[in-house]
Amino acid sequence: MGELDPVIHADARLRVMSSLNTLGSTETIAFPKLRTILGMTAGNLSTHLRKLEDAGYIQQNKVIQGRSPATFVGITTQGAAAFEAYKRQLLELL
Amino acid sequence: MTTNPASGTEHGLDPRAALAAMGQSAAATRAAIGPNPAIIYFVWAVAYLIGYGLLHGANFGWLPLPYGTALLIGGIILLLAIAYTAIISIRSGSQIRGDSTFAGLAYGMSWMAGFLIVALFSMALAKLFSTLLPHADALQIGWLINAVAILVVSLMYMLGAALFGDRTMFILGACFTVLNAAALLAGPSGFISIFAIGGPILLIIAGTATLISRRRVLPVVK
Repeated sequence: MGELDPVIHADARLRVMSSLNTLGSTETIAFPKLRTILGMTAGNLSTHLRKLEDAGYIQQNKVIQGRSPATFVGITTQGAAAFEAYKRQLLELL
Repeated sequence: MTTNPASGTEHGLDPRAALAAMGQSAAATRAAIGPNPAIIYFVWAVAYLIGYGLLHGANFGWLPLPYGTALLIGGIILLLAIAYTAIISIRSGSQIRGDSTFAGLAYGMSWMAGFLIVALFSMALAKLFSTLLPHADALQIGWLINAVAILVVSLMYMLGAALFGDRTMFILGACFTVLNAAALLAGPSGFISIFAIGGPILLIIAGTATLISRRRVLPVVK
């Protein structure tokens, strides 16, 4: 059995991935709403989102909403597949 | 309150703790991105109970209320329930983009379109009755209008079930179809009793079933 994906296997990133996976790969969520759901600070969430984005598991899109810029975050197909594999491995460990 | 869950937990996350964390954030996400259907069902159960209850009381004489006044109050309650449902649905779907936004919007618009036609049909039927059957009872007109309104309700629940993959919603729609058939067979004197009792019961069962399924802790989150 392989090692658990280290990009996902950290509390904050696991929560982010679980949240975005629940949302689905066809949906994106505004950064402030995701932050509220997860109860994380903006700085901490940004750091972990960057790591997940670097791994290709999530994508962040900056858009103009009304007159203000907004960031929307969503899971990628690669991220959803990685999360499924992680869940399978985790369940095998239990 | 904001926290930093990652602090000190980069490595060595216990598998059980990891599974629990997944479940918690999945549940928190589900609660944040959509309205709680159980609350909506309970609100509508109260609306059905008061609305049909008033009509029943006015018609069978246990409430000192003219039928027209009961109908008006029932209409106001219906509008309040619609407004509540629309507001919490729009609020919970804010800050989300994607396929579900369009699906939710299309579903909401379909409800509006359905009830616009029911309102126009009601006026047309009342006009037709006043011309062809001037002595017809208001209850007879109400019986037919109610059947069309419940047809829209049951079809919209079943459509919603197909759209959102919600089995409870489909069963609710199917049960309303059965209730509608029973009300049509019972005739103008029986339909109010059927919906005053059956409607709230069905909605409370649906709400309770939804509440239980949302609270159930699943070993594998989506």
